[in-house]
Amino acid sequence: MIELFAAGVWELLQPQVLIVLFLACIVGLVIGALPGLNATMAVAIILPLTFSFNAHLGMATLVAVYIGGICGGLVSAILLRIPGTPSSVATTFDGYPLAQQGQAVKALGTAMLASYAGGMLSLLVLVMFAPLVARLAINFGPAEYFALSVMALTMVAALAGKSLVKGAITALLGMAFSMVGMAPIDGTPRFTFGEINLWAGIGLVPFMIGLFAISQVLRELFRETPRPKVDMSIKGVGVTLAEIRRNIVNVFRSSGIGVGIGVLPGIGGAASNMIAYATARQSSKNPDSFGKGNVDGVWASESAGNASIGGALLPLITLGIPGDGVTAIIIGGFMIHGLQPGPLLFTDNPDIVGIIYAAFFIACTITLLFQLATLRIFPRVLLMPRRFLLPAITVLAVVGAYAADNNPFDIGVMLTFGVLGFVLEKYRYPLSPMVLGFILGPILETNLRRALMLTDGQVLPMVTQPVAAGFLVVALAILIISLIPHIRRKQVST
Amino acid sequence: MSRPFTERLSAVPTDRWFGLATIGCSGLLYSIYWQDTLKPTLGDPGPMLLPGLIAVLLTLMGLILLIKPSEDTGPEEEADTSGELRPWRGAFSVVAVLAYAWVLPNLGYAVSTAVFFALSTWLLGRLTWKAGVQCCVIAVLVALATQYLLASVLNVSLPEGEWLYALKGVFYD
Repeated sequence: MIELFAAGVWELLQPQVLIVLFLACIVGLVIGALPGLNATMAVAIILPLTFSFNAHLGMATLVAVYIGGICGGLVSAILLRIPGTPSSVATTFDGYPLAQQGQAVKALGTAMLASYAGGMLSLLVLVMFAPLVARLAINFGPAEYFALSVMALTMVAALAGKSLVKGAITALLGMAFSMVGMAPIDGTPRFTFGEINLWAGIGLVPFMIGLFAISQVLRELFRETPRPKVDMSIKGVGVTLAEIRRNIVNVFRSSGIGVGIGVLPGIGGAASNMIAYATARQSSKNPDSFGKGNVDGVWASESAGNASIGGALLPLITLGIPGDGVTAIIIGGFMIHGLQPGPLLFTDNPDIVGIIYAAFFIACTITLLFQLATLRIFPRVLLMPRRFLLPAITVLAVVGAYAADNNPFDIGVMLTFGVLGFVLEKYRYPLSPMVLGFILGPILETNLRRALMLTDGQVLPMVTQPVAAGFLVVALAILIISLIPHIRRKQVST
Repeated sequence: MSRPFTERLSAVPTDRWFGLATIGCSGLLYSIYWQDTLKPTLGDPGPMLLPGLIAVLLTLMGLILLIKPSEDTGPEEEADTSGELRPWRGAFSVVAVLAYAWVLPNLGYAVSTAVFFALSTWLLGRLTWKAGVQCCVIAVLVALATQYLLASVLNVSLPEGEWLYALKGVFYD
């Protein structure tokens, strides 16, 4: 595998190829940074352009756009509290407060290094253990997926903040909102109230943009907060060696979560960054500082988000199964060039495998270098007068919500969730469990129903399968560990 | 002497109201759940199994809030006293956002964005004629530049405006 990777790198290190990959990364970065436009859209836009390329350059370009698209989301997440992509939702939790405290350069620098580290670690897994991990992932059935979703949902306890009940309520509301539309498996419409636009459910993009961006705009409209200062005197990228040393375990753990979740078809980066963030918060000695501008949260979220790219590519290359929407489009790229992803790719076209690995490495490096070069340009957005910044965020949010499905109804959905997010945050109801509930709700439901149908309604065989049981035990342990600080706090107060 | 009703009402912790709202939400879920003719069983879970479970848990959480409100219950402003409250301008801007969302599909991206941007930048800044003209010029430039960037360069589909289409039809017919 390492020989294939080295040969691929050697082949791609040509000036013309590097220029194409550089442009592909920038297209991905720009599209990823715009709310509502994500890596899937970036790859879909670029795909037709690669028809005229040879197979090697075509596949390398698609991988470069994918990586750029995922990395681009961090800029708007940190500066404007608009997650550019679902993979950067958790980056807003600490990245935005850091930017508001004048530490935008530091937050961006941290996020850029974290996403590079996550990408490189997932590449390592891809090169070294691809067939093994893919074989493990394919053995996951509905019971395992269900147990994994339950385990991920227990992270609500870590994201809940001071009140566990409030966290549980927002998580349940998130799950309830995800139930709107056609039910999985049988396609029965639920909670649509006769509105045809709700048949496809509530879109993740208007939901996220409303909850984070519009609620923030509303807060600022009613209360003129002082403009944040941007500390440009920070040397380098603003990340200290002590912070890097402190976050080594965090990055390894978060990248592991990113790869592990990315490899499972249908879950992807949207969930992995939230789960990695919650895990980082739970294992921190100072969990209360999370959500108020703790760089550890940015390290966790971004490394997991980028690591899920490697995770999603893994089943695509080894089994021909797409891990997320982007890899589903990349399969189209394979087919256009007469290639069949899956086990035979390693024997029939090993050169393509090497090119994908090499493109991953080169695109991550180009993206990092470009982001670091422009590190001090983006934070200037925060210096824009408030009377221009707020309408600009609103326009971006409205366009993002509309462009996701070309449906004006989604603008109304976004505004509704904006108002809900504004009210909930005002009364200290955490929004992050709501997003986690919304993302995991459909996965949990689909797999619960499938598992129950497979076992004829018997719960015991479903929860006693070794892997599923393991996940449930871990879920229980997480819940107990999360409850301890809440109980201690109560004891201290009484 | 007993306190007036409104005073007693405002003394109720906010979390109790949220608890009631949560129970209301679960009640809505329940009512739809009972309307569904296919009741879930474990062997044939059906589409209402998870909504039913969510409703039960929401009711439970709502009751907890109602009985024992959280200590962290006050609105955010109590802790954050920085900044100046500008409710009227805020309210007008919210109306502008709602109007923008409503007219965008009808007037198209360029026209509605220019109007929204001009109006909201003016409302949030100095309310003078000079500032108004400046805002209008900037708004038109922003609307046209972003339309070019999004539609022509990035190939993003933007609303073209049903009313403008209809108007075009009147002139061409």
